[in-house]
Amino acid sequence: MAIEEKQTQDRLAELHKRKEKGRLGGGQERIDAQHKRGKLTARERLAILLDEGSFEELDSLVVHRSTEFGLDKQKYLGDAVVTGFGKIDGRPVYVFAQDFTVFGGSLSEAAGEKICKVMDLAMRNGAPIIGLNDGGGARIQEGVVSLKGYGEIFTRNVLASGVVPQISVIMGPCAGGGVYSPAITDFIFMTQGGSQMYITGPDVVRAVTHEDVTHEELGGASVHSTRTGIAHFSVDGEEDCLQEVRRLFSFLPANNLEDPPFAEPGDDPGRLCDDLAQAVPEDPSKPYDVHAVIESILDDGDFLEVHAGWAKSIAVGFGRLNGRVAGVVANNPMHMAGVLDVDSSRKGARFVRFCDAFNVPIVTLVDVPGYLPGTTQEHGGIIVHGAKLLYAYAEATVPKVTVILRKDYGGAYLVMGSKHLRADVNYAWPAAEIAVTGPDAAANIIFRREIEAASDPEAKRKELIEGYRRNLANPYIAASRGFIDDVIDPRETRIKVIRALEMLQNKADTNPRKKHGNIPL
Amino acid sequence: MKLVIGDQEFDVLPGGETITVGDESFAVRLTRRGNILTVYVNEKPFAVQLPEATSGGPEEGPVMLLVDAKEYQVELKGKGGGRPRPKTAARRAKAAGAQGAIVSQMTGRVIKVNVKPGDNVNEGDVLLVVEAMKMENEIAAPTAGVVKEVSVAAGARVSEGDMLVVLEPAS
Repeated sequence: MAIEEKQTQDRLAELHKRKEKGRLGGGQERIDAQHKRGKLTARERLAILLDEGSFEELDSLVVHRSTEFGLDKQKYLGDAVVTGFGKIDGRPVYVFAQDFTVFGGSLSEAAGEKICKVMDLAMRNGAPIIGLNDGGGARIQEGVVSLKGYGEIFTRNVLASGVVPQISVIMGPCAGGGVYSPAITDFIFMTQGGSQMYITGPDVVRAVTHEDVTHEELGGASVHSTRTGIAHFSVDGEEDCLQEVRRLFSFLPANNLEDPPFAEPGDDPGRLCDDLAQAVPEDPSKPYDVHAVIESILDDGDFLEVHAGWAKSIAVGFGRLNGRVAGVVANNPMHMAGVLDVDSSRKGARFVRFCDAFNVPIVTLVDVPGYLPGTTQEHGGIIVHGAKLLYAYAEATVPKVTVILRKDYGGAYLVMGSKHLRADVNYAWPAAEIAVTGPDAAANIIFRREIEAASDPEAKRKELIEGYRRNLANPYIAASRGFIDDVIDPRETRIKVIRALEMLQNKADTNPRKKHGNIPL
Repeated sequence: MKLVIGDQEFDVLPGGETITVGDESFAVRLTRRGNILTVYVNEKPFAVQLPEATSGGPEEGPVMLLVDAKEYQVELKGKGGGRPRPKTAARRAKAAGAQGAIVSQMTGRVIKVNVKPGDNVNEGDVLLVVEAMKMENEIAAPTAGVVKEVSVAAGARVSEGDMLVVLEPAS
């Protein structure tokens, strides 16, 4: 055998040895421990998230450079994060997955650099970035250099915001500085029971405030998906969670210069929605679930709801109309009468801004009694939070189509995708009531003297309320001014919305040049 | 004085509209209906079910309190008057995502009550209807279970955070 050939073989053998070692991360023992906790390893997770065999790992030979506390004797190839690129449904994506088997997934300077490298690649090449988080925060032994790693990740998160979609999946602990990177990204997934997010964990909480609280109570998936709204999706099981990430990905464009992916529609764009004729109760005081309306209008009734468990008086999410992606924002009278409050305003605003940043047209379905009155709301800052939703709608330059299903009163009328905030096409169903306030309150204010003077005030009040409803609380006054482009048969809603969006496909609206606006945060 | 919750001790200093626990002060106000106390801590409501026997004065020995349907053993030690105010426990229960206690999300009026104590309900069953924002809001059972207590009657005005129904979730 020639000497060259032998050398080549030896070199390949050395490479395979190193790769094999790297693939084991923190070693078989720690992998087994991870499995015993019912969790998958970083590489197993990426295998589920990405198309089969599409993952290309980068920096698998990187090791940390710390020498303190005996760390120089514990080096693992690749350190505590697996990074690289791959495909989802054939579309490129950059990924990083923290490896809990290496130093508990903690962030070293080297791990931070690895993450920054794929983030830079994602930005430069206009592809989304997905991070799988399962780590205990900055590596304490390294001190400030590991903190630096977080800072540089945050900066990239901020610069990438609105350029490429960023998705965070929390599959284990995510604490301290580690929470801020996901917080900046567009969507956060959490696995139920297996993940937590908090600034300080239960031990510190107990030491500082004497409050006794479990990991799950403090920052589990249920808390963040129902109370804080920090998690957009909460999914049971790691595999299902990663499949749900793939589903969300199917609605997102690769970057802010592309349109969201078109999918050949299996549904008829000319389909009449017969169920919508009866979907909304005639009596304005009767609730109904707006999901039925959303699903009736969208292709195949397929609606990916964002924030399904939080601020349920408004429903937001993605669907397709004749194959093209649309973001749906809909008041839901089934929950708290469909009011706008602090949480629902924030939820709606964040979603509308995402859609606007990534060229997703917005379809708004309106049935709103107004903003929720009361001290809790006022003292909670509803003025500023409510203004966020208004700001988001007015700022958005993507196609905006609004359908008023029933009630649409006062400030909420303006906010919910009205013509006055630059909506393109506004429709109303025949039962729509558009006015400054509801007939009861309006009649009581306008006709107070008449009612007081009447021989039978109650009868007079009823008569005047009915008169107000007949004369003012209908869609025709707004339509006579052109604030509503047309009053439509509910059954034709899908057809009308699809046609409107088709006409708006090449919409090119702009905002004045500026460094950035100053949304009331 | 000291408040003992479970196996933890807290230094508490009750005063008018605030309560000081350790070094931290909280604004507190309460409303009481029967043996259901609605405690607003920094304007966040918690529903506290008092033991049947509570007649007003401080209790001797530990008592069991149901805070947002979670049980806590609370004991007041040391003189100073005032009733034990289960603030920390309440916050803890809240963080856990209260199960079982169904409180009103809005200020309104109860117009219909469909259940009585002892009733078996399925998830999604309408327990009662609260009119608010000119809407007849249907309050549905979040889980299947048995109705332990109905705290309101038709016609009652309710504030945000007021206890409506206590449901014992089916295990």
